[in-house]
Amino acid sequence: MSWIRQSDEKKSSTRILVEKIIKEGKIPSHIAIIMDGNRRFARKNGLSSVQMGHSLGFETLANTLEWCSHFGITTVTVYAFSIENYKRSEEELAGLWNIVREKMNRLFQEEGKLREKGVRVRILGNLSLLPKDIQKLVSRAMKMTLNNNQATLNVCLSYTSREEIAQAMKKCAQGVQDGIILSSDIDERVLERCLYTADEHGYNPPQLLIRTSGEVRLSDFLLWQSSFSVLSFVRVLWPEFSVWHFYGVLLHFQSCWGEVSKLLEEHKKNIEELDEREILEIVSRDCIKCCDTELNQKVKDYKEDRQIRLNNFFQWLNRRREETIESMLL
Amino acid sequence: MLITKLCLTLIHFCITANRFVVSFIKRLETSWPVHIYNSFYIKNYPSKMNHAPEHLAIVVLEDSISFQKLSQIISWSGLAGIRYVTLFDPKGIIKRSKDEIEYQLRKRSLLSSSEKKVNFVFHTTTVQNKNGYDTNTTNVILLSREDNQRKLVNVSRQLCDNTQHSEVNVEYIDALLKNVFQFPDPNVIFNFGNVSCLAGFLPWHIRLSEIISFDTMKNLDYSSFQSNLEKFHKIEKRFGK
Repeated sequence: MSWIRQSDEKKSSTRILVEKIIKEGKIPSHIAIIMDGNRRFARKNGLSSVQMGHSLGFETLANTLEWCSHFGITTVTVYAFSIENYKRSEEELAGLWNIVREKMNRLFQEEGKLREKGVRVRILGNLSLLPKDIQKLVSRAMKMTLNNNQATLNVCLSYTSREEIAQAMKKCAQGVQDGIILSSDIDERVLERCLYTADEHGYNPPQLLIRTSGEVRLSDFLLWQSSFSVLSFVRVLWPEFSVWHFYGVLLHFQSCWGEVSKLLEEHKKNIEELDEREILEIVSRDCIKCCDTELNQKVKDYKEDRQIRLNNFFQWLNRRREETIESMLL
Repeated sequence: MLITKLCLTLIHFCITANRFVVSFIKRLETSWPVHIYNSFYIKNYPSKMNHAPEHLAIVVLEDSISFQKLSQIISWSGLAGIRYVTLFDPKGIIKRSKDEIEYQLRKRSLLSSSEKKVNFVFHTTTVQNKNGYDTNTTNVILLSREDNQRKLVNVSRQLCDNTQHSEVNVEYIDALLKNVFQFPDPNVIFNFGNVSCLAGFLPWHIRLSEIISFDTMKNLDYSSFQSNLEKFHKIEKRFGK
């Protein structure tokens, strides 16, 4: 099945009306989805293999991407495969890798359509754990869509959030040990830029996180990034997730976002205040007898120097991202 | 054109406002003095719950925080055999009100005729588990926004000076965090305040926590407290399998 849906079927007038009503409110720019329930769906409906459940799950994903594009949601991050999932049976894993191979090859065929719609595909996670041939396929897909800039689909494959945070800290530590930044430069905003979901344009956390199948856990998915997301737990299994569930989730988001965005603003303000205090402390350490004007000048200089260090560090991160993709292509 | 736009805005407003109307009515209901009556019946509660979780976290995003209600929840948790109760609000109102909560808790334990006396130990900065194996102790941990992402930032800075970057991994970070917080990950999170968001609560620790949302803590009575906790004991955790 195709990644990009062309909506040839006509939408009912009820749907058109409902969409117009929802568009009156805030639409998230980035949503994250835990697509849970494929296997239970297969068992419940007596499908011959769990693999069929996963294939149906992919159909739902393609539909959801189409609905998102109607609403102008530009980034979608989905949880496809967790590092914990490597514990599953050999048979199921083989089936899953086959689906990935098939979908990636399909993606290469649809290069033109993806370019036309400007969809960038990124595969996030500890990709070095994947089978070698799949590493090659996913890195090719990322390179192929690198310059598409209208929308982004992040597929978390071989991913857990703790591993992601650990990798981010590792990158920071390397930055410090290579003399690019100082350890005091590390704060929430720097760590965020090192997470898998960040790219060369910066860090863009999801505003809405959806989990299907009635489970109410995050299961090691975007733990840091979903700190200020509206969480929406839906009872249906992922293959059953319809456009009406999607509308419901968006309405739920809209009724919560006012409060959540206030919490997010407070959080950002708090980081800035902490930052000011820390810089003042660092600067006044070697300038005990300074007057206020001198101190202000020193703070300003310190901030400028730090910005240069951080810009170098972010460039270094971008280079590393490119290198990782290139090294997997070999 | 303008009229259609106005109509759509109005319909949208009605749909999203609906939740607030419902929660307002619920709030009115609970302002009747029923919960006073409830609190005197604590002696009827079972002294220990079957399958109580080890660690319950309470995330409060309501505008008005009732310390009376919070202390009631803490005392229920203690009687049910929960060993760790974490209370969090981003602004740190709860953390600053430690004395008030302790006072309420003492008052409650004097009023109750329960046979079992629970010893509550409060923690606000670091949580060192000195008397953790005493089954009659419940650790009450009070957190604010400085204890969430900031603690990970601190770990990240600490790493740079003491550790070769190649040695950094999940287990290593987990061990460093255990120096600050020596408690098991929360099993269940009660999220009060109708916003469906955790406001940054302990990002590292909540990967397997069951998140249950409530409009307001004022409505919570013992039976729903208990049933919501026991419901999650039955859940089959697959850990990725």
